[in-house]
Amino acid sequence: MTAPVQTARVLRYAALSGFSDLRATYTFRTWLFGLFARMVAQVAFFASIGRLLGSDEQVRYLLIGNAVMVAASASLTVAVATQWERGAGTLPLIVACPSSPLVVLMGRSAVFVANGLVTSLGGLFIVAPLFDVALPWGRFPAYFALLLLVTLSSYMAAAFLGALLLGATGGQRTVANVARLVLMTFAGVSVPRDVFPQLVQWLAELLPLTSGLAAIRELLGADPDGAAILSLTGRETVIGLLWLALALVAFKGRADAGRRDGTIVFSNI
Amino acid sequence: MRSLWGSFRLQLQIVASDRGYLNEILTNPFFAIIFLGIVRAARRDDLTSFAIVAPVLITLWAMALEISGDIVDSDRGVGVLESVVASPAGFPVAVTGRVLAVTLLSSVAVVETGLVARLGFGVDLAVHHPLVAAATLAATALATAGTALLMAGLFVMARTARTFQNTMNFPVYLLAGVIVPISFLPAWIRPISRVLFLSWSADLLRASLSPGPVADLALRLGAIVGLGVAGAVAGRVALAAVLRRVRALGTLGYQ
Repeated sequence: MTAPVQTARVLRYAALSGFSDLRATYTFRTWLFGLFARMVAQVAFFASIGRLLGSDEQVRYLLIGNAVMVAASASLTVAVATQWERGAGTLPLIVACPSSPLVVLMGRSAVFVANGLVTSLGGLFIVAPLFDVALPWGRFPAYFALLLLVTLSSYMAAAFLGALLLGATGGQRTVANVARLVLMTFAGVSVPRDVFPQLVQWLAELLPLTSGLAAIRELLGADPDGAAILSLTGRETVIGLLWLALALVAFKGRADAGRRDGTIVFSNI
Repeated sequence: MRSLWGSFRLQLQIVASDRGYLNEILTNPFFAIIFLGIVRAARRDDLTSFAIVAPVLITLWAMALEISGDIVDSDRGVGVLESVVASPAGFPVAVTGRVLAVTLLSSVAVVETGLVARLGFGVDLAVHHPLVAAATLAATALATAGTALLMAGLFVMARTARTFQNTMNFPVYLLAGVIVPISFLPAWIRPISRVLFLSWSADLLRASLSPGPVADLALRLGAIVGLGVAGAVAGRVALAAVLRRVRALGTLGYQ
């Protein structure tokens, strides 16, 4: 069996087991009124600030930014994956297996990418009519493709954080939360980036989501510029691949170090 | 009282060793930057007080959610729940002391938000009614502790309720009008908002930062404290009911 085929197979089985975990944790009802409702409320909360500002343009800006953020936010959950595996006692097995542990961990968390996409689209579909925001639904296929790209690039960055925290027995949730808020704050989700100092704006260019969200805003604008969308999409893709490369290097380094010093088998307590 | 103080100190020691409790304190400056940034970008400096009140209330509520969901599970996890329940002071007193400690800690959000506003956005905030602001913050802290006790009881009583623990942030922020006053909500939702003490706190804190007179102060403070006390009483009843049940079933220490 060739390496790519084997990797795809491992990824598939890992994703299926991640999906089973989610089904064991949530029923449809608890998912709907738990995860989904929370995310829709988050989008509505920020969109309502636009009403306070008395500006339809602000309502639209906040609605789109936060609907996309919901998808990116869900994919950041992969940063916590190593903590779950450690808690379940499966981390040493995953690190010891012949396949790349990163492939297994990313596969196990892939369900959160799917969850992020569903909740993000749900948030947009439900909240946009509530706030009288008209969207060009004819451009939905391109919107979905860009949303998927943003979700995956955020997923790659979160995988890097998860890799850095491979040997840690705690703190993953804190890191994931802070990463989520860094994106919410500096990637142009609710606050236009030009409010921040130039240095912060440059650093924000290295974050996932920043360019992809700008491409989405351009796409959903009154007069979209195709060249600008392509350029921003290219930049988001490169940033995502860069984070993936960093995740691969960091994961190998941390797994090797964990084997040497024995921290892989430590429990969370 | 000694037991209450003891559990209060215990929780401070737990926080010092388990940084997970500091999550919400870490997130406060980000929320402050987001809200102040939104107002600044829209050139609506008249709404700065709204952007300052919101992150404070968000931190208080998020910390209360965190502790109320975690307190029993963590004790159960490390195997000390039976000893706490069997202690002469009783479980509700222990929970109350620990909840109060976390609530007090979360009041650091006031300082954090103030620093972000001053250093990050150059806001020179004038508190036009300092006594009203102080009284509202004190009443809000009390109500937060009371409500945390209620949530702790509910989370233990119905294990599935913990699934909804993370759900109770943004819906509550929206309903309680932590940044957008509830007058912007549809009229039929407003009675629900008024059951949340945060809605009274948000209105009163914003009023304390405005130059105009603060109307119905006693009534509004009374609403915050009253809702907090009602939460605490209901929480104690819920905890007592849970303890009776788990003692009868012998499932107190079950994971």
